[in-house]
Amino acid sequence: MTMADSVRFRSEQEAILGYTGGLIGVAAVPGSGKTFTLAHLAARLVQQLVGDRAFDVSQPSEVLVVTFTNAAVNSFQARISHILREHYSAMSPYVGYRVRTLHGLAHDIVRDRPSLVGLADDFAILDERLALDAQRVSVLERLAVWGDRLSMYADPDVEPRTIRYRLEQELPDLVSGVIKRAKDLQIDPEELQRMLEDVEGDQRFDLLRFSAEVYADYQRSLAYRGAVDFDDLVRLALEALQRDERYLQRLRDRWPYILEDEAQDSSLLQEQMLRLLSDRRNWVRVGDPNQAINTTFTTADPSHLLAFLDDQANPDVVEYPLSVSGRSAPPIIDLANELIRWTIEEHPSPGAREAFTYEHKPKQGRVRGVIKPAEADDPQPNPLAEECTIHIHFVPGQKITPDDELEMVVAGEDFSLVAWMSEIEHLPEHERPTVAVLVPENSRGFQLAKLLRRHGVPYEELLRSTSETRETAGILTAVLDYLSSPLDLRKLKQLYWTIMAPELKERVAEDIDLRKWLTDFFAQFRHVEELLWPSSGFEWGQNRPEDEATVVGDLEGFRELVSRWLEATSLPVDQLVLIVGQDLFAEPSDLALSYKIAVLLGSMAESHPDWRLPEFAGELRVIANNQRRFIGFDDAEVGYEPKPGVVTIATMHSAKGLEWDRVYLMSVSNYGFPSALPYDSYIGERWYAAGNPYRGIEHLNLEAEAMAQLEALVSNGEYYEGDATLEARVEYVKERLRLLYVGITRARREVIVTWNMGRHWQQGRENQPAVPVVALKSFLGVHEG
Amino acid sequence: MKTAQFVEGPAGSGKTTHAIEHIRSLIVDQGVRPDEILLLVPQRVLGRPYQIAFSSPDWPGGADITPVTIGGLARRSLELFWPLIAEKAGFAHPTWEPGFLTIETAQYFMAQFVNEAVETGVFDSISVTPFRIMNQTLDNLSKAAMNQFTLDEVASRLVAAWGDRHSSRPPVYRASLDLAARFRDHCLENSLLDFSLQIDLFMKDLLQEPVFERYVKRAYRHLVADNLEENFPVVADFIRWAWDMLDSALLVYDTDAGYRSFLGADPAGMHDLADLCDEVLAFQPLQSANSAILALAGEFSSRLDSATPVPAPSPANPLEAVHFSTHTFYPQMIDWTVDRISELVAGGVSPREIVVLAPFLGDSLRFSLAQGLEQRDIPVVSHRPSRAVRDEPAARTVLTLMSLAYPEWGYAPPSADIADALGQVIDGLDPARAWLLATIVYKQQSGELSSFDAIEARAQQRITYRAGERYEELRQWLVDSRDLAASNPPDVFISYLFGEVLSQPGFGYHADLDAGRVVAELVESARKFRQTLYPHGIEDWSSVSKEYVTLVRKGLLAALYVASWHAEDQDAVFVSPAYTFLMRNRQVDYQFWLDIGSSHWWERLEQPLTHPYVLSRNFPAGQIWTDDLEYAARREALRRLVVGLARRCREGIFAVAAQLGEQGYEQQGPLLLLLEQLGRQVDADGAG
Repeated sequence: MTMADSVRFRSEQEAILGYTGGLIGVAAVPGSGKTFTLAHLAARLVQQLVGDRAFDVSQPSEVLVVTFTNAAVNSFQARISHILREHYSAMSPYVGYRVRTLHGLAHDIVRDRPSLVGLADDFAILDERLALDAQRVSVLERLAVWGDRLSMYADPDVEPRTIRYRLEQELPDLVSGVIKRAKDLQIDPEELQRMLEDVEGDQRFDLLRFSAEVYADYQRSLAYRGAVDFDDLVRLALEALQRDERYLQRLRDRWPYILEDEAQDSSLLQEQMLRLLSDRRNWVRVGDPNQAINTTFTTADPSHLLAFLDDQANPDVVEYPLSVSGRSAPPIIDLANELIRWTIEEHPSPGAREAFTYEHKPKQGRVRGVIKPAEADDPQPNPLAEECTIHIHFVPGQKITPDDELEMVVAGEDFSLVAWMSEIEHLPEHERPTVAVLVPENSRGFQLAKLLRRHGVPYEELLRSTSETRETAGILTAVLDYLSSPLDLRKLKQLYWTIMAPELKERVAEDIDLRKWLTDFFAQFRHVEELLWPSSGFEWGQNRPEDEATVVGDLEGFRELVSRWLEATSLPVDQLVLIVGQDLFAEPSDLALSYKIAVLLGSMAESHPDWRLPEFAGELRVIANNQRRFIGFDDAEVGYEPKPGVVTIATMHSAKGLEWDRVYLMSVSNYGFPSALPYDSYIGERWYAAGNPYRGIEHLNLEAEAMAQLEALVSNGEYYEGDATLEARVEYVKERLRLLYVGITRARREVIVTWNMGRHWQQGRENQPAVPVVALKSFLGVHEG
Repeated sequence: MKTAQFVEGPAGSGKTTHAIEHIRSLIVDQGVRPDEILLLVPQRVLGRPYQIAFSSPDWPGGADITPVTIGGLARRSLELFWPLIAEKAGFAHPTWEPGFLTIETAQYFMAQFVNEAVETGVFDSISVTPFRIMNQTLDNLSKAAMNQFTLDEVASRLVAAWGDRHSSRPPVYRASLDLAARFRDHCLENSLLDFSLQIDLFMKDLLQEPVFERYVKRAYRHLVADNLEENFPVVADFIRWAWDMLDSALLVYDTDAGYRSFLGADPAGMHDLADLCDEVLAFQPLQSANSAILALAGEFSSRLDSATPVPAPSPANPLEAVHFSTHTFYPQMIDWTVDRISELVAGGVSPREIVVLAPFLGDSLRFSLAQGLEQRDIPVVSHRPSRAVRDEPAARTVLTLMSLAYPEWGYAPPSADIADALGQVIDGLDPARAWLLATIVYKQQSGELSSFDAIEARAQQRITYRAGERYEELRQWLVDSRDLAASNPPDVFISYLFGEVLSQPGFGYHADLDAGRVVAELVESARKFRQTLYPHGIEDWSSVSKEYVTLVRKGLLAALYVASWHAEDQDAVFVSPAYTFLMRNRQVDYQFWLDIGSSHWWERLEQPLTHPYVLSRNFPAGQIWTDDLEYAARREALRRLVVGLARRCREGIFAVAAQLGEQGYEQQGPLLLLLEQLGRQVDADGAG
């Protein structure tokens, strides 16, 4: 079978698939199939490389694909292997390419030659929480000395005690941001210290000075553990490439083609690394600068991609458009295009007008920031305009509380989820449309979920990452938790319910008598040992209901397991977890995950010989609650597929790359989507921070100011207090406009936008509908009129 | 020298058999006294085939010859001739008895220097744990001795090989060598001899002594040296030194081996010894060898080394010798392996004919494999168990109880440890009741155990009186033993504790041989520790005991493993890292290669402070170690490894891959690609 037989490409896509080499850049619009096109291109290049008989196994050539998130890595990988299997059937579908995030790539590079950058082969990667913990320890120690000096950053009207408390709470995150940025700029603590000597005595730099001391402590503690953090990984990878020319050459030979997806999120270091690796030979960069939603306090910046596309600076780069999208119905496309037009031409804050990029020069291959619907004969045509509804819930003067908004979305009269459910009830399951509610932040999503539960509306949440990790880790946590305090009868009972097989759980839930019997059963024991190691004469299942043999069997099994585990607590923790995992799980992925957890806890045990089960259970709880980035399997889920007839609850960020028939955008007020207008407020400007009245700033954005201090030193520029706070406002406004754009373009047929006054409306701090939404509402009015 | 023979050939070609026959003929036909034969091997385990032959019933009676390593020979000789060289070698107190350091005790001394240096920040530009800094510094000392480099030479080689890549590295190399020099001074000051100093004294001083020369001449008339390719450069120097004093020499060399190159072995330099011999014999693989496996070894060789000619078309299909299996997850790979092994065993294959090999054998993998096989009643042994001595429940229990016997240490173990220890040692006390008992009788603040008689009757009943009685017995012993604490070194104390209480009827380790073995190992480690550090004794031993227990807790001591009692002789599946199996030098019917996607199959240990190839005589001083050299070295190491493994297999290889490795990362190492490519191309050629 050839590809032409099975897949039809649009002409824009065909043009990209004709790529044979050189530098190309693609500014794509939402729904134009950029990942799809890139995956096909990757597969074609793989075939070309591996088909060659001279393919050298110890130095195989690979197509390198770099993308932004782990989830994207997995889904990209699945796509390529699928294409290779289906369309180039002769090949092994896992050879000849490598899909990585920037961190994954950096890990590969460092892992291959650790001693080049001063690491042993068993170097550890400190995850984000442990890194933050280490920094927090140093922050608190240093605050004891620094406390007074730092109070100059505090609002003089606030109690010193309160200030101290806020600093203790929030400085670790602030410093962590500065350390990350210093690493992005490849500045080590010593160098930072040297730079600070140049501004000695200048108190304005104290925040940075403080951060620099913590940075030095932190790096020392990493070195002592033989560890690096995620940011070091990237920095060191780049260092390895810069240090060893021959190694760089070997990697260049290894990756003759580099494809970069989501290039609008490319950071400074990513760009430097790929520039080095590609040697500006074969590098394909695909992204949508208008969907850059990860720029706040990172060096991710769509300007990298735009600069690459600049034909003056880079005449050797060829730009290809991907401007046709079959995703949304034409009115939704118009709405998204209008958001860009309005922003560029009419946004009340001139700085924000650069949020989007727009260009329409089809003859030069440059069509950016305008979505075009597909032609009628397109393989994937747009939904019809007649099927489309757009509702922006904005009535001037209307006041909507947060609860009102939730109620309206879930059970209101016109366009609510309950109404929607009743409309689609009669349809066979697979024909039901898909729907998502996109919220600006997790907490709003949890409130929504609660209400949906109350109304019996089925939903799935994408608010935290994979539930599978959480479940497996959660079950193991429950076990370790009990094992670390084995006399606790209550925990033992809880454990019984936690690890009960789902079928039995269902039965027990339905059968009141059975539930009662079980409750009575447990109630007869006063002590753990009576249940686990009964003295002779005890009968299992006395007075049991006759047909409950399974439950008794289950209880006996439970007793056997728990006694076995308790006996195994004298083994090293990794071996204990392996035993528990083997006993509890049957699914290969669960087993693999518990295996990984075992290895992880084993290595923690090595670095903390004084840890016992309570500490290990604590660590595991952090993983289970997903407060910890757990590299490896947690991202093993290959993309999310919305289920027909089931509501997806997601943040606008996590909705990227997905689509639904109907999309709700909630809480679109000036709080989450400010417009740099006088009455707007900003999350980064803390209430306890000092202000700069001369510049009209009530509270400084301390994190932005600290970063600006750093950047001023690095670039030998000037630092003016307050500039950074103002700039951060504009950057935030721009990013949130793009986020709104992402939200709108998730919808195929229907968009519903709502807002609320915020939590503090009773205290006279009322949020307003977001300005761009008001503009879109009036566009609709004119349009409809 | 009357006769000198150099025998070379691949594994399994009968070289060692030839050497054994040679020894037999020396004894039987020429009437040589067994103790006149010096049998030199690179590692004690490589002497096993000889020991097995010497102990067989048909071996000429009473002819026990002990294979020795160069380290063993040096140590033995230094003990004998100590007064002769102690002063000349620069020891501050030549009259003191020499203290020979084990790896553990050498680490103990080195750790003190390393910790001081780390504090000064001199190692800040690398991210390596103090433990690794210590090991790599000791490694630099060993490499210097094996090659007879001075420490300055080591430093200048390392600095030169680094080139001008970054200015932060050379100072770090020098810092490591400074530590080495300080350690050496400390040894000379205190009459301590680590491995490197033993070799240095032996080579530089002892060999210059006419007395010693006369001694060697009298003691040894014949030399047999096996597995030369795995031996260090100084061994060649020693052989050349002794050459003219010998009546005969048989030198045995395994082509394509040299697996210890990254530990300092010098296959090329050893091969030069052939020039001294009047006869060079090249052995060929035995005719009976499996032709498919030979074809496989040939394919490996030619695909990884362009200098090796492509094997002539053979009627044998190399793919018949290897069975691939790919799994998504790591535990699936383990399960599959266990299933296949049990099928093989059910089909009549002896477990000792099966080995399971991985490039890196973590404790979790070892434990999972052992558990899976044991559940099917298949005996399994490993080159080491999955737990260090200090992690063995028996050892932890002993250490916990010791802390209770010495309250003046001020170290009160957490309650969990007490519960654990009580559950271990009191027969019939289940973990829940052990917890209960510990919660009631132990207060961490005081670090003391209270009496069972003093607790509430209801609690006594819950715990059972029987267990209470035993507990009282143990507690009383601990209380009484406080009087013994000062007068007894830690090893003696542990022996008492075990002998008088824990191994008695009614206690958990009664008739428990495994626990006995673990405790014996602990006693041995404690004994070496105090003998080396306090050779002349000390008035109050309790501080020494405390120091010992603290170091064990920190993981600095007793990181060793209970010896697996001649593992290779048992009828059990052998689980080990691939290189360890190669060094056992034996053939088996079936090999399982686990985790073939892992890049560990071809990566060496990366050590930022030392370098196995640069610190070798073959590497030109002053040359930069480039990425090209690194890559070529890895490729060659992989070639030797897979060819060596194939040659040690009679029936078949199971190559098993997990797409996602132990940590959940996707894996595509060179060995996987090699096998995949082989599969595709041989298939295609066959089809064409």
